[in-house]
Amino acid sequence: MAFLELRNLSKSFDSTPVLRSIDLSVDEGEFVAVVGPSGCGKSTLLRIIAGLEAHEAGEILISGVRVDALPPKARDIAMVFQSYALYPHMTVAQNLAFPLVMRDLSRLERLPLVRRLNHRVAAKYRDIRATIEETAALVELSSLLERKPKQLSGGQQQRVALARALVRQPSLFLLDEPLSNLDAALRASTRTEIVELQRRLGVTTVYVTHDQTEAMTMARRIAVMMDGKIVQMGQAEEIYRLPNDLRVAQFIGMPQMTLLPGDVRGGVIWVAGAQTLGRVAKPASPRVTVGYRAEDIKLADGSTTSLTGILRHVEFLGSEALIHLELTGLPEVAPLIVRVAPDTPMDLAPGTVYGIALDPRNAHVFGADGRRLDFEPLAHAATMSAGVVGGNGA
Amino acid sequence: MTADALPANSLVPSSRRSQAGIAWLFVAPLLIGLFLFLLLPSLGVVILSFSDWKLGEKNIAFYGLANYMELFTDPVFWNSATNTALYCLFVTPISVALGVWLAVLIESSRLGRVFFRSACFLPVVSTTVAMAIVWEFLLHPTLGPVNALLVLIGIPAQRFLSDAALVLPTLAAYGIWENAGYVMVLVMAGLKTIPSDLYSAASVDGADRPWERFWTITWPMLGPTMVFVVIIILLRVVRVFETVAALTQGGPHRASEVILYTIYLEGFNYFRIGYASALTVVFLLVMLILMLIKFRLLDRAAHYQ
Amino acid sequence: MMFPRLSEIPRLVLLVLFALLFLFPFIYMIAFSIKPVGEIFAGSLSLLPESWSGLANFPDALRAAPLLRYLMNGVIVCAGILGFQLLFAVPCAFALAKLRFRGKSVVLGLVLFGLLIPIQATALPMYLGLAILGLLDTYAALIVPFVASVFAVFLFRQYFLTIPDDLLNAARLDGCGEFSVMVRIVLPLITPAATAFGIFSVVSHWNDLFWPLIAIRSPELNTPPLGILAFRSAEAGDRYGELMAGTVIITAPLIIAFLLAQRRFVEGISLGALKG
Repeated sequence: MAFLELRNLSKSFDSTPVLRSIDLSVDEGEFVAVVGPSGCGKSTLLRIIAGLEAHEAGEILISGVRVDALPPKARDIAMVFQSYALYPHMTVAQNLAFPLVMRDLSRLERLPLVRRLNHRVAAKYRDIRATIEETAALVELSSLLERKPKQLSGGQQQRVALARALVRQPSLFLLDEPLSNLDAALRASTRTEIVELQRRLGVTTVYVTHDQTEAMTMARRIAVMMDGKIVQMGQAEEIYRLPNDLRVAQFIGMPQMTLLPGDVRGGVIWVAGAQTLGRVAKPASPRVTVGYRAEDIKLADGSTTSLTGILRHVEFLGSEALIHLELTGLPEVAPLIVRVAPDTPMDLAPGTVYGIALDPRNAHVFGADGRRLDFEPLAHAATMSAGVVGGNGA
Repeated sequence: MTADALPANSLVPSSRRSQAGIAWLFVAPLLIGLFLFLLLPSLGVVILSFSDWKLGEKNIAFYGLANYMELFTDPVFWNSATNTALYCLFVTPISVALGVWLAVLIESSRLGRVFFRSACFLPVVSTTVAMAIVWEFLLHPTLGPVNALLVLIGIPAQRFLSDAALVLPTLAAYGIWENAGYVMVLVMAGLKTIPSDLYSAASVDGADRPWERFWTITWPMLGPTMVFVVIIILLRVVRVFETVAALTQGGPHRASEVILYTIYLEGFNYFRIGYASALTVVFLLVMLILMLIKFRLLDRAAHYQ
Repeated sequence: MMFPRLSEIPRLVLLVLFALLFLFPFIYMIAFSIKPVGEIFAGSLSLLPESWSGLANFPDALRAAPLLRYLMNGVIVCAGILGFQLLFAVPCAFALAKLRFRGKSVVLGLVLFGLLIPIQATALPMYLGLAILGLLDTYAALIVPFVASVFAVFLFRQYFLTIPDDLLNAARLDGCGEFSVMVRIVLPLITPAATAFGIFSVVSHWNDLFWPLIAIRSPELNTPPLGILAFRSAEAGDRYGELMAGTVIITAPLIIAFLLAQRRFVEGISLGALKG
C-alpha cells in the first residue's frame, strides 16, 4: 500500500482550474519528484498535501488514513519552503526548536518563565536542545546555532530550513523548489546532500521543482505535471526515452528535443515531407510532430540523405558541441540541435550544408492531440548512408 | 590627446559649471521660501520669547528669561501641559491597540477587506471641525442619541462636554475615533512586509490558531514598526487643537485647555507675543525630541533592511 | 457572493461592530440632516425621518451661509498651495538628487532641518510679518506660508534617487539640457509620488483650522473648517437639521473623493507618517 495517496484531487482558483483530477501514490521511503513548468500547479499540489490549502474534490490519504480534514500540524509532515521561511527574529537554534516546542509543550508550559519554575518543563527543554543539536550536526550547522538567519549565507539558510523540517522526524517530507535561490555550483552540491540525507533517513519525500535536471538526478520516480494534470509518471530513464506526450518530450531533456513537422500519407509517416519513417497501425490524424533527441540526429554528406540543413550556429560546451541547423527549405521550423563530440572534424562555417540522417527507430512521433503515436519503423535504413560525418561510427 | 577619465555625471568639464548654475536656479525658490517661512520665523519665535512684546505697544524690551520663569510658575501652563499629557496618555495606547487589532482582523481574510478598511479610515480623512460639530450634537444632553441610549438603559443623561470630569475623556474618545484608523493603515503596511511563507511554516510547525500566529510571528515582526507608530501617533495627538477650539474653547474652567490652545489664546487673543513665543518654544522642544527619536528609528530601520 | 464560512463569522461580527462604531457619526449626520426640526426635538433615536420635509434643510443651509463659497475657498487655497509646492519642490528635489553643485550638502542639511519645524512654531512671526506687509486676511495669507514644503523636497528627492543616472545621461547625450531632462524625462516618472503627496497636502490643508483661524477675519475667505464654525454660530442654536445638512455639505467633497480613490488616499495620508 502506498504511503501517500492522492485520489482525484481537484482545485480551482476563482473558476480557473489549477489541479485536475490528480492521482499520485508514493511508497514509503520513496523520493518522488513533481516537475513541471511555472504555473502548472505543482506548488499548489504540495500545499494541498501539506494542508495549507484546501482542495475541492478528491482524497488525500497518508498511511491509509484520510487526512483531508486535518490541519497541517496533525498530518505529521514537514515542509521546506522556496523562500526557506526562517523566523527572522529567532536564532537558528530557536528556529529548529520551534516545531518541537509547539508539539511537546502545552500552552501553559510554553509561557515564559515556566521553565524556570517547573523542572519537568525544564527537562523537556533540555531534551529539545539535545534533539536540535543532533539534527544540526546532521546538516553541519552546529557552529551556527546562535546566529540569526540574516547572518547566514544562502546555502546555510537552506540547511537551516532542511534541519527545521527534519527535526520532528516527520513521516512525510515536502520540499518546494528548495534549491532555486542558490547559485549553480551550490545547487549541484546541495542536490547530492539532499539525496544522501533522504537515503539515510528513509523518509518519504515529495520534491517539487521546475528544473528537470534536479528531478531527473534526484528522484526515483518523476511525475511530470502540465496544466494541472500529471501527464506522465515513471522513472527518469523511462520518461526520457519514451515520453508519452509532446509537452513531456519538450520539457524533459537538455537540450530540448528537436521537433519537425510530419504528416501521414496512406498510413506512412513522412517527416518534413522528405523522408519516410514507418507505418502507423491505427488511423491517425494527418498532421503529426516528429521529435528527435540531439544525440540521435547524425550529420552526413548532403548528397546521401533526403533531408539537409544549413549550419547556423555552434555552441561549444567543452565536453561536447551543439550544432544548430536550419532545415533547408523550411526556415520557419525551429532549428535542429545536433550533439557531436568536440573533436569531430567538420567544417563549422555558418552556411555549410549538411545532410541530416534520421534513424526511424529513434523517432518520437506525436499525434495532433500531443499524445505519443506508436508506429512500425522502417526496417531498411533507407536514408542512412555510409558517409556519416563524425568520428563515432555506426 | 590623452583624455582624462571623465566624471560620471557629465560629458565635458564645462558642463559641470553650467550644471551648478542650473542647480542653483532650481534650488533658489525653495531655498528662499525655506528661509522666509521656516527658518527666519523659527528664529523669530526664539528671539521673541526673550522679549516682553505685547501687540499694540510701542516698545519692545529685552526680557531675558522672564517669560520662561513666568511660564514655569504659571498654573495655566501647567494645567494645559497636564491636560495635554493626560490626553496623549489616554489616546495613544488605546488607538494603537485598537488600530493593531483592526489591522490584523481585516488583513486576515479577503472578505470585506476594502469596506472595513474604508469605514475605519473615514474619520481620518474627514474634516475634524465638522465631525466634531456632529459629535457635539450626538452628545447633546437632551437631543443627542448617545444620551437617549443611556437613558434607555437606565443611566442618567451626561453633560459630556460641559462636565469638567467628563470633558477630557470625551475629547479623548474622539481622538481615539480619529486616530485608530490611521494606526490601522500604518500597521497594515507593516503587515504586508511579513512574508506569508512564515505563517505557512508556522502552520506546519504547529502554530495555527490566530492568537498563536499573532504572538509568534506577527508581533515580533511588527516590533520595530510599532515603536515608530507610537511616536507618529504621539506627534499627532500632542497637537490636538481643533476639537478644543470647536467644542469647548478650553472649558469648562480650563478643564480641556491644551497646550496649543493656550498658545493660541496667549498669542492671538491676548496678544502677549513674548509669552506666547516662550510657550511655543517649549512646545517645540517637546515635539523636536519626539521627531528626533522618530528619525533615528527611521534611519535604523533603513539600515536593517 | 459566496456565503462566509463558519470560521469567518466571529471576525465578521467583530468587524461589523467596529465599522458601526466608526461610521455611526456619519450615519447620524446624514440621517439627521434630512429630519425636520420637530422630529429632532422629539429626541427619538430613530434614523429614518417620518416626513420628507426635512429635505428642505439643505437649501436652507445653503441660504443661511455661503457654504459653497467656503468649499470654493478650500479648492482655491489647496490648489494654490499644492501648485506652488510642486513648482518649488520638484526642481529643488531634482537638483539635490541628480545634479552636482557646491553647497549641495548645506542645502540638503537645511531641508532636513526644516523637516523638524512644525507649522505651529512659525505661526506667530509669520502672522506678524504678514500683518506688517498688510497681507493678512487675504488668500495670499492662506497660501504663502506653506509654499516651501521641505517635506515635498524630501519625498521627491527620495523618489528621484531611484531613477538611474544612465537614463539622464542618455538624455544628455541626445542633446537635452538640464531643464529638458527634468521636464521630459524625470517629470513623467514621478506621477505616483506626486499624486500621493498631492493627496497628503490637500487633505491636511483642507482640514487645517489653526492657521486660517489666525490669518483670516473676513467671512468670505473662510476655508471649510472656518466655514462650518461660522455656520454653527449663525444657526440660532435650534436648527440642528440645517446644521447637520451644513456639515454634510462641507464634508462631502473630501469623503466622496476618498471613496473614489481609497488606495491613493491611504497611500498619501500614510506619507504623513514620514513627516510627523
